[in-house]
Amino acid sequence: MRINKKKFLDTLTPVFSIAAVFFIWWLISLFLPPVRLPSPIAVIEKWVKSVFYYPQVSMYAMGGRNFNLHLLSTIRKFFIGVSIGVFSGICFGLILGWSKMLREFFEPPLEIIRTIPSLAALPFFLMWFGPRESSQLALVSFYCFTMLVINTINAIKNVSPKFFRFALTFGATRGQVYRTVIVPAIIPEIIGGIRVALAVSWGFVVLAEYMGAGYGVGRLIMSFMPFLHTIGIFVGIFWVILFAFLTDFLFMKLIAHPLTAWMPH
Amino acid sequence: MKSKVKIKAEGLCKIFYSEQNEKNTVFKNLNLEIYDEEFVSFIGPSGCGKTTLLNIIAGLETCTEGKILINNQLITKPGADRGMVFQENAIFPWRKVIKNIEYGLEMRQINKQNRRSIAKEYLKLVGLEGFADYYPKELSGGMSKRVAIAMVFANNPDTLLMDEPFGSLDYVTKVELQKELLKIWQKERKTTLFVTHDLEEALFLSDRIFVFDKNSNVVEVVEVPFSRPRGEEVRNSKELLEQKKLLWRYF
Repeated sequence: MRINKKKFLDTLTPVFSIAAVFFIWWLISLFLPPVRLPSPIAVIEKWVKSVFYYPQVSMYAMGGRNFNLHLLSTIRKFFIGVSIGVFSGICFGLILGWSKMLREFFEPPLEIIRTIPSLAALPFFLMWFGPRESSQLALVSFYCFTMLVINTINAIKNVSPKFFRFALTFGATRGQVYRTVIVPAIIPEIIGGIRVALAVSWGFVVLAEYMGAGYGVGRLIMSFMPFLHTIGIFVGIFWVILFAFLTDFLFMKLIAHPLTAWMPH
Repeated sequence: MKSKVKIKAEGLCKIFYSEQNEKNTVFKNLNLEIYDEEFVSFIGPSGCGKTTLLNIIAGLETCTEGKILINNQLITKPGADRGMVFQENAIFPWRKVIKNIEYGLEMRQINKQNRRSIAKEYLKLVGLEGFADYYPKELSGGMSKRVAIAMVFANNPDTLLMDEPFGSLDYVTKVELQKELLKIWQKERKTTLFVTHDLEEALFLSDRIFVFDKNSNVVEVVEVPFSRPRGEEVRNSKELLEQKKLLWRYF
């Protein structure tokens, strides 16, 4: 009974804190014109309606275009970009973890590239790929790739030697040690890396769209700005927050938890 | 019976270099012979190189000079013929208990059915029948040690290297595991090299005890007089106490 009560309070606290943020927002909005800061109630109303009916999209952004097309475009770019980047990053990291020669060759440039914030490199992506979907995909993939390569190499370095020494005493070959010790041992750290990549990538897709895109939530926000359609900017941001929340939740539930059931808490 | 030499060290020398490039010599000129099916213990102060010796025999480290032979073959790398139980808990946390025990067999590509039945047999032998599908995180320290022992025995090595395997356990668990180890050893008769700090443990388990000093010289080889199989009465016997006193002189 006492445990239930504690659990109840634990779930209630975030509800309260989020409600408090909305309340303060609402209070401030009373003193500002809606163009500066619309009230949260109006934003939520518009947000809920947005998938069904959004006349401003055809007025401000582009004639006759459907709001949902912009949402789907951002979602699609996110998933394609993240998948390419994360998958190739892990594979490349595993190759570098295997071969000392390749690792010594590639690690210094990777360390340098890592220090360049991917966003600062955005102009290059635009110059090379144009204001098209490919430049947004390239930015997200590039970020996820560098992130996961470094993450994978570090995870491999962190594997406790006791495990592969133990494996060797069973007569395991180098390839067997890699497959049965290194790969399972690095999974928790890789999951941590993927989580960060997922969260940051939503921001990157939208930012890349700000810089010029045919479709996407970022494109919508940019089109709303000159018309001072502030509420629409909030609606866009709300969608991105929801997507980021959902991807993290589903990733943890469907992939991370089953893969790390063995881990002590 | 003690005729065939199993492991032989000749003029063994091991030099380590610390990070400050300081030279640290562990063995100067170590010679020893261990016979087939013998149970020997290595005792001595910390840092005297007992673990290093075991690692060299396991093939995890190389010696600087001299040579070490097993069945008259030079040891160059680790192999399934030498199983090792480490001081730290090294069983694989991502594998369930039964999969851990199958590990060595899996590496040697033994088919699934055979390795499952062998693993089950050893799981039973260490008294963990009900824990096949547990993850190591759900086991106590003593149970994890049992799994490690089952893993090593299931792989059927002919030499067993044990590096303070029970060092971190409480007394009761330790005594219990010593009994179990002796029981399995009695059945399978593997040449066993056992590193320990515990004199009682060394006397209870071994045929011979190698006593090292802090400069890693063997100062004494004690023949343990108790007959086998040994029961709990040996542990509390007057003779064991006397032997213990004799060994104390070297510390």
